[in-house]
Amino acid sequence: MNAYQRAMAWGAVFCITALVAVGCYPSHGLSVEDYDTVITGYHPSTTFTKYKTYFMQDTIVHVDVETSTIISRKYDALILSTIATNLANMGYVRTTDTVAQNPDVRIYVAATATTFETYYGGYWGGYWGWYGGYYPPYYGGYPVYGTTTWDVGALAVDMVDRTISIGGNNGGIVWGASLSGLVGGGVSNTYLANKINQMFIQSPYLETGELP
Amino acid sequence: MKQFLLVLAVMATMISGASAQDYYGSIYWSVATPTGQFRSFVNETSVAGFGVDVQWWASDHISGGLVLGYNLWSDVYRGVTQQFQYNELAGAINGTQVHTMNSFTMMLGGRYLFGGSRDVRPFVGLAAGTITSSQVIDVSLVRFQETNWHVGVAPSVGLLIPMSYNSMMDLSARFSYALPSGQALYGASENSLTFWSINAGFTFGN
Repeated sequence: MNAYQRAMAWGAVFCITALVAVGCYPSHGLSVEDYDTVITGYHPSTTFTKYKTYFMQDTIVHVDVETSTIISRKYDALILSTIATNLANMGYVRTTDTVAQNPDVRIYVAATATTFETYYGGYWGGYWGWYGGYYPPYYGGYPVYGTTTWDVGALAVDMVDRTISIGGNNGGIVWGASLSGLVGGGVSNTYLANKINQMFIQSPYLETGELP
Repeated sequence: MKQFLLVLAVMATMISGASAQDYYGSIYWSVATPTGQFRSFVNETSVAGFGVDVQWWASDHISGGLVLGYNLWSDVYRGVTQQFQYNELAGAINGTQVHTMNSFTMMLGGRYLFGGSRDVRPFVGLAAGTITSSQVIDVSLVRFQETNWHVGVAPSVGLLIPMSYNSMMDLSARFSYALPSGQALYGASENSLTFWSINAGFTFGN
């Protein structure tokens, strides 16, 4: 074996070892629920303890027509009441008159959803090979097509203080939360309540004012 | 895995038949388990790793050269909340997290080998150089990543078991310690990296 062959053999051993190591990369078997997230954010200069009252509309805004075709309104009452319960537990008082009671912050709740569709195609029942005068490869059989669709949605809860200025604009979102994930048969009252509760669990500063 | 080891053994034997007489090389599979604070990031023994050593003889019992390696750990944690800061926005994200650590070892090291060249040869080794750590936390489509270079040391003990004229089985245990560098994504007070690895492979050369 000369030096060139030895170098090639070295390279081959290295590559085989590397491929085996990379092939051990775990997939973890994640399910669709594993891609659901609850994200919360806040403006760092906010003093949350100064907020005592809030106003929240009694409906959830669907940001477009497609959202209304995907997301049912049967969960609206549950979503709004769960938000109100959490805010009450943190000491916030809900107001119903934005003029007379002049709430400190306003809570806006919005939902959006869209459908993704993936097409796949191919042939079935055929074979590769020469056939008559056709230029190879000829493939017999017939085409089949299919689609996979999934609905993805998000629920956004924003706390807006109209008296402050953020980025040179009057009024701004001082706290926001988003639940995002697949929308489908997996959604239930318990699922929604738990996810909305999580928005407030990971935002204790809404009550204490102590930012992380 | 059996086929892989067989192919490796055959190729190592082929290479060793014409190797130069003043160096030897080892290529090995590495099974590694984290220790210390690193365990709070990913608490999993990983089989995804390999290493390559090339050593030149300084005497009948002492050799020195390159120590190279790669290890990967990855595990999934559900219902975890991660704090983040992005420009003027601070917050937290809750969901299923996949924690991944990629680590490359690039060191200079030496071995002291006991016994004669045709015997089963125990050895002790010490290597020093750099270890990289690339921590990744994936939460759905959001990724947090922190990559750092560390100064590291890696003592080891092992055995070389003769197989044929110029090839040996190489079994060793190594403790890798990467000194603190940068920040830990997982809230540890210092971003060090420590792990044990059990390495099994083949050595060829003389």
